[in-house]
Amino acid sequence: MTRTDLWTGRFSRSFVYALLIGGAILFTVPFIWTFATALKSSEEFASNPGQLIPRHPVWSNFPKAWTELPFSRFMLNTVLITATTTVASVVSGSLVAYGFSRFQFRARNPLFYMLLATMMLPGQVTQIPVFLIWRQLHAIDTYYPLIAPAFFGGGAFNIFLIRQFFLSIPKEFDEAAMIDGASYFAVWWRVLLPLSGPVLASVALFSFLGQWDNFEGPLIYLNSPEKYTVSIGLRMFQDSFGTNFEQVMAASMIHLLPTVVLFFFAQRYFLRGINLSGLGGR
Amino acid sequence: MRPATGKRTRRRLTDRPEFWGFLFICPWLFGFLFLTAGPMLASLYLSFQRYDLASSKFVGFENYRRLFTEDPLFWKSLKNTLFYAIVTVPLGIAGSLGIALLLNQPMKGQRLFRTCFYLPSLVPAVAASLIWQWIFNSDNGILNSGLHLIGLPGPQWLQDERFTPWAFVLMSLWGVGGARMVIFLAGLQGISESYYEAAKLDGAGTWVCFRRVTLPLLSPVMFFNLVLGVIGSFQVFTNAYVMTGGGPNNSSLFYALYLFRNAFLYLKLGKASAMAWVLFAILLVLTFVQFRTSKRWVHYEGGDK
Amino acid sequence: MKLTPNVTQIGLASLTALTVLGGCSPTSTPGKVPLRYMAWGNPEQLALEQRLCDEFNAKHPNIEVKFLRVPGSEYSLKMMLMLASHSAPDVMRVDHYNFPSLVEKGYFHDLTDLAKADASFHRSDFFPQAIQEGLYKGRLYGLNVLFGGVIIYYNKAMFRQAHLEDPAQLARQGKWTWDQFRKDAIQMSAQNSDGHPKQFGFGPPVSSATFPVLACALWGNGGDMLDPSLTHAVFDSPKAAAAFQMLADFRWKDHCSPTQAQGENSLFTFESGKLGMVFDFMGMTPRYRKVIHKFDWDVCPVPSGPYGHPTLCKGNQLVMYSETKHPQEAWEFQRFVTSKETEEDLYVQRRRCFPTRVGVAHSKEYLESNLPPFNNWVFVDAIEHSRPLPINDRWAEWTNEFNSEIDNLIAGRERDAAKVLKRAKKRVDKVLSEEPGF
Repeated sequence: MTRTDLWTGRFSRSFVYALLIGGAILFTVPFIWTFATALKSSEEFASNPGQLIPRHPVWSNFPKAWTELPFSRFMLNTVLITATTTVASVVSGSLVAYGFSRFQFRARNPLFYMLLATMMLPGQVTQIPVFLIWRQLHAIDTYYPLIAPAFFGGGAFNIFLIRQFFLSIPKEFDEAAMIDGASYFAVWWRVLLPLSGPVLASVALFSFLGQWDNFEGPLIYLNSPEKYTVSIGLRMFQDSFGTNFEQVMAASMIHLLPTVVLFFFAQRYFLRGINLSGLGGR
Repeated sequence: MRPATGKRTRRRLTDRPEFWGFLFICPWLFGFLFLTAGPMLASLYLSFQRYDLASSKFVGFENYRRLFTEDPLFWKSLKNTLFYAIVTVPLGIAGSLGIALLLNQPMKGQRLFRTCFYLPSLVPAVAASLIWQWIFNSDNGILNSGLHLIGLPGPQWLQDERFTPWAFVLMSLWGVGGARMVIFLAGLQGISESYYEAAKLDGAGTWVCFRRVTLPLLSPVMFFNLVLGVIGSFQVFTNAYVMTGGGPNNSSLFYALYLFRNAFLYLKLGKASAMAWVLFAILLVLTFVQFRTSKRWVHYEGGDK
Repeated sequence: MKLTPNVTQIGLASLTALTVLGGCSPTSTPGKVPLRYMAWGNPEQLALEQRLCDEFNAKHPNIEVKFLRVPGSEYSLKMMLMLASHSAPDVMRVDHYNFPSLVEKGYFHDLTDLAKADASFHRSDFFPQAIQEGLYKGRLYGLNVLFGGVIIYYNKAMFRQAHLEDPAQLARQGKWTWDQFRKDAIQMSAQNSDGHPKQFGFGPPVSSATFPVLACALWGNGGDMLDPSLTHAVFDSPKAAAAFQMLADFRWKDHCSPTQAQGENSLFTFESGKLGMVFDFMGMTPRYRKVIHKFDWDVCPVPSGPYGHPTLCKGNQLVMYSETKHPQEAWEFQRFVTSKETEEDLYVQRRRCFPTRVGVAHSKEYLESNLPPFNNWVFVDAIEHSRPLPINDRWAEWTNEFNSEIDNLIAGRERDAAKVLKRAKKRVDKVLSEEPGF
């Protein structure tokens, strides 16, 4: 399969590789540094924080960070919340985007601008009123405030992104399906979703990461330690009387590793690409 | 727009596409009405109040007047943010697109490369800010050591107010392999091979293919990244909050940081709400302009023509 | 796509699990008075506080305290939201920096009458400074915890290598002055062969960079920050300016203290063995005990100036929420957390911080320790010579103005203290004279 050919000739091929390898190193430094620091003893970090490679790697930092706080529980909570919000935002987000991209109705454009507008007001000033609403609903210290938004389209970012992709899928596809007797619902499920693999997977990825890293939400809405998430546990290691950096870094690695593994393996699904030509696109 | 399929001329509600369109956006509309609209209006109301959590008093446009006429930090933070947006949005989009184009090539270790470029977006903010302080360390940080090697004097990135804005620009560039790149990549994946084949039959080279095929077909995604990039850059907050707290001499005091300070440190929630609505107005105008001009360069295959 | 059915299954499964795990609202044991207590700290501190709650629950079968732990960096944000929504916990720990502004807004329960009615509560048991911090306009609103004064931690090995006399001994003889401090600090500072600094005489504290050193130098020289009514700045007096100049010169003339750039990333920390001295609170001792194994260290008082060696003290306050439904039980819990037995356990046995009771601090068990630091009299001396910071309800705001101006001096962008202070005074006075809330 040859995509856009940036590489014609051996010279440009090695040039591309050089660029990629250089860039990859540059972009991997923070990760390596995090990992290296997580392997230092607090004494070694104290006496020489700048040293990249630890002289005596201390692997016990990981089990120590894991057991000092109930990280198994935090991880379970995080996985559950994240899985739910990810699935929900892909489904509800693509439904809403379908509504905004394929139908003409009177209030469509004003509503769409309102959707975009929700991103423009800094969240800090709506924090208190939103909190009050959830309190009215007796939902403080539950997961509802964290997962409910995912069922309501998953936010303007997701909806807008999926809409952009739907708009780039030729309308002839839906029309052909409708002539075959498909309902609107079936057009969304059978035509648009299968054609939008990459973007849906991207949305899933962003929802996943957004929730995985979400710190403010759990901080504000959860009170019981047994309901806490990994991102809160991570902050617990910071202390005004001297942070144990190696512990923070070890906990960061624990927090980070599942996402790296996921990104590495899930690419197969979401960046595989689709071939529109097989479906008759020009 | 839709071919009429109904047998009757007067159709039932469920036969009308409008009904279905409205139905499909209902999940969002419901969330918006119950969770978002109220708090937004509440903050608008608060922007006309002197409110410090415990007591509130209606003061009309006083919060706005004070912002515009008596608050030099408001203007300073707006200026800092504007600079940041103007520099990082184009750089970020160009960088992300470049990386996406490279990573879209079939090659050995493609998955590994993609993961490497995405890694900075995965590192938790707590760890990332520590790392950045390390990189920017003027005495023996990685960055200045590198500059010394090529014979350049390394500045005090986080202590010298002439350089702090650029330090934050550099930090933002580290994110070019992140979400924006993935979105471009997803966009590139969606472009059918047949377009390129057709172009090549016409004798187009790499550059012409890029100009005539890739760019136009990528324009909806580009537009998305532009709109979101502008909104995001105006709300930049975390790095400055963690690393410099806005200093030195308020050179990294970004708008959202100053807003946060007023809201949660000084408990001036009325003033903070007024600031939020000023930003809202700015972004609304910028987004409107982008949508208006987009008709000239954004190409939708399935859009309403 | 193929993955859709799996995805639906996962979604359904997690939804069910979520309802089980997080959907249920907080329940309390019937027949017991439910209390909620909120605090922050590192995992060790939180484990100790959890143990306190457990002990309290065991001793009081009619009460059940639930402990909410919050990461320190965002504690005040969470507390504000809870206060604004009338859902704050019955008992909270509050940093003194936030205490006056929140009392002012009426969020905390007045403890004066509860204290009067409590036959076992005697103000005279406590250091007056510890009581003072919990007072607002003469009424008691908070009981002090994690309290202490600023002292100097010093690296004994570095003092020996530089052939310097022990500063704690000098202090006992009344010879530990700012002059002596400066000489010692210069003596201990050294460079590597490549011209990069190797070690410094002293450094700023970890917990809060500016004020601990500043206040000691300022007060020892006869200056002050705000006037007694806390309504305008007085730090531009010649005496105050001399103190600021001295601190700036330590860094830029004498090169015996790391600049911000040099000190970044914990490059020069006390535990790295590259700082001869560091100003800080007693709260650092658990950490230093844990991570320092390569050199011996101890504590000494801050140096004295023409006006003695006043230091600053600060604690956290244990406050009761004004809307609590169970003030009597909450008071009992507050008393338990600050009881003599608790203080003896936490501060004498575990040596985590400084006690608020005069009797506990002066006890033989407290003063004679078999763990470093050994000069525990220094902590007592510090409290007895301590003053509170001028923390008023605009503290966050005026110190922000102050710091951003003083930063010019400390970072070496300007060298003339008097000039910088004049500008700072203008900015601070403007804040203090403004109508609050705008």
